[in-house]
Amino acid sequence: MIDEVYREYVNRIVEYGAKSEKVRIALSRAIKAFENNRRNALSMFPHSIELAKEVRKIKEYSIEHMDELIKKACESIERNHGHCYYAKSKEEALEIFKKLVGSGKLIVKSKSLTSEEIDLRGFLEELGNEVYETDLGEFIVQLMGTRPTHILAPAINVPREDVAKLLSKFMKEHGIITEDLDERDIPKMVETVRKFLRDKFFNADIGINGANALAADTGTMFIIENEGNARLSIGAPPVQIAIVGVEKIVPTIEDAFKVTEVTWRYANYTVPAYVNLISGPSKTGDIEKVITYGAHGPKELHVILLDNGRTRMRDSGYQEALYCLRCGTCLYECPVYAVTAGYFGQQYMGGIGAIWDAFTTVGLEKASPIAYTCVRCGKCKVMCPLNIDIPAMISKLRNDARKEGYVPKIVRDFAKEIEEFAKEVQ
Amino acid sequence: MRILLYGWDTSPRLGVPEICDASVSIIKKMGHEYVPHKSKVICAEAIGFLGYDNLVDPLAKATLKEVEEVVSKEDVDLILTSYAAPYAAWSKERNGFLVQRGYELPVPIEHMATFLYKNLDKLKFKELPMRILLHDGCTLGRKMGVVEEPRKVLAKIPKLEVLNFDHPELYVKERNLKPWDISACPGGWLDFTLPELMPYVASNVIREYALPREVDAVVSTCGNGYHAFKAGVKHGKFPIKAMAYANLVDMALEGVE
Ligand code: SF4
Repeated sequence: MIDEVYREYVNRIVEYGAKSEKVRIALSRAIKAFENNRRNALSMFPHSIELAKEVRKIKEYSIEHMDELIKKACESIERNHGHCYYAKSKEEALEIFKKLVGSGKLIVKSKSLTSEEIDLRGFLEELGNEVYETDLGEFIVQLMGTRPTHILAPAINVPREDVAKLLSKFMKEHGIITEDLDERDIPKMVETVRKFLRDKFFNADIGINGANALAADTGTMFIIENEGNARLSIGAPPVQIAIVGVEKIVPTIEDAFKVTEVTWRYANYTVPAYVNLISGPSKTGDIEKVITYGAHGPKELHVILLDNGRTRMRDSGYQEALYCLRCGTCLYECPVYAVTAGYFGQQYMGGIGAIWDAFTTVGLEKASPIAYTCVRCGKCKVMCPLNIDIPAMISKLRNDARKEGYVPKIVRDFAKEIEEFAKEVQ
Repeated sequence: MRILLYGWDTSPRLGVPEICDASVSIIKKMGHEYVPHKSKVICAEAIGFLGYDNLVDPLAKATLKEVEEVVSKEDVDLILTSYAAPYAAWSKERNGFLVQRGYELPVPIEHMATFLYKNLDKLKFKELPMRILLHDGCTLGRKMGVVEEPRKVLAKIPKLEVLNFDHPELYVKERNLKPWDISACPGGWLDFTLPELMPYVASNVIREYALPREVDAVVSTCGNGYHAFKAGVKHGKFPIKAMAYANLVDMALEGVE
């Protein structure tokens, strides 16, 4: 079985990733822009480098005390008149969504890797809902019928020429434009999507979001964004549902500020256009100080805290993977990712993604070929703001895969040769 | 000195026998004798990285036994390698991984770069009018910090221009990053796990880092890295050379004083 999984994976990563000039060119452009922006961001705010060390400590504490922080965060959310749910697995999370959403709804979603992890959009569509990704990159990926290929920039592998073609077809069909979009005119492409989604935001029944951090003491979610789509999907519909991985919970609101600042800085922003802070449903006390819920923003807030393998990840010795801020640095630095994009991974990507995929999405057998794609060069560790030791975890994951019989044949054969040699000499 | 060449078998297996030829040539020019070491030379630490921690000790013991036999039979004084992993694992001076586990080779081990560096005063070089991009092997440079030695040796070669393998965009003074921290790996290890991918990774690294610098060659301090670069140059049909550190030094080395 592992050999079949390996062959299928190799075929995908080589045929669609490595052999594609489009992928290579798009990544080359993006990597250069990213590196340049990050240098500017860090030069302008050099304290981020020291702050990252503090954030590592915050994450170490948070992951160690995850169980008590989940409880505390839930209490805070409920205290703020939100509803909090704990989902042990993907299935439990989807069941909660099913009860809350039902069918026949118009839904706007902002970018969330955690929602990708549980295939949320597909699930809601199957229930008979109309769902729109509102982050531009995610929207492009949705139209293409593929999946994101970078954790920050989901359509990083799609050159502008392809985007123009894709949007022209879709927007003409929906009466937004009459002429094809010019492939050089990126602002026009953006404007067209804005026009299309405008309606959706204000007519949506439900808005769905993820979060970059969640403060346990106040129950406040932090959502970093630039496009303004998250604040519209969070703010305009009457019901807001958030799906947040339990590793995002930190003890205090002060900690959450630090975590998010380091995240956006290493994600190459001096400062993002928006950082949304949400602690509860919208409310007013303007008439005789009587608190009434559902003023201009959502009347209901539901927060689903997702475990889905995270506790197991921590307890199996991969706690460092849970510190990940999803800043994307390691992907931009990875020499393998530079020619393969998201094909180096399943749901998550790159070396760090191999760990996440093993525990939260496809399981160890399918994650094994991803672990064997990592060259363990260690550049990711050096460049990661939290100095996460991805190469060490990759070695551990390979060893765990070996114990379960999930090593690809090419490596198995080599190891057999070594084993025979060792026996022979001894 | 009688020098055991560690990696004798690996180089032809990886399709880079020229590393052996250059190593022999260097040893001879320096007035030493060489002893080839035909063996399974993957290092015991590396088999652990590949997912076989259970083979680390059996392989270390077998390697040690084999080396001890050759050393005593051939009267060897030193073990020399062009590969980073065995040096990183066995070097007593660097408190290598296997040394920490209680293994000790009967004689010292050197990497080609550290060996040349220790003999630097005696080395005589001719002019080598080339512009090269120096790649610090991931294990040797980033992990072990063996970075001054290869550079100091190359600095002694007249007319050789050495560029660092880096991206100026990555430098922010507060981060204190060095070229070896950020040099990109051409993916030599993929040959053991996903060989179809290696030429693509290597050629992209060359395209992004070497071609814009207009160098004559990309030179790696790691034998494994070199074999990936060689595949990358071929794959991309690039008008530059890939070279192992030993090959570059051998081109310039005339002998010892
Ligand atoms: S592992 Fe480190 S560099 Fe990679 S996304 Fe996570 S925090 Fe960023």
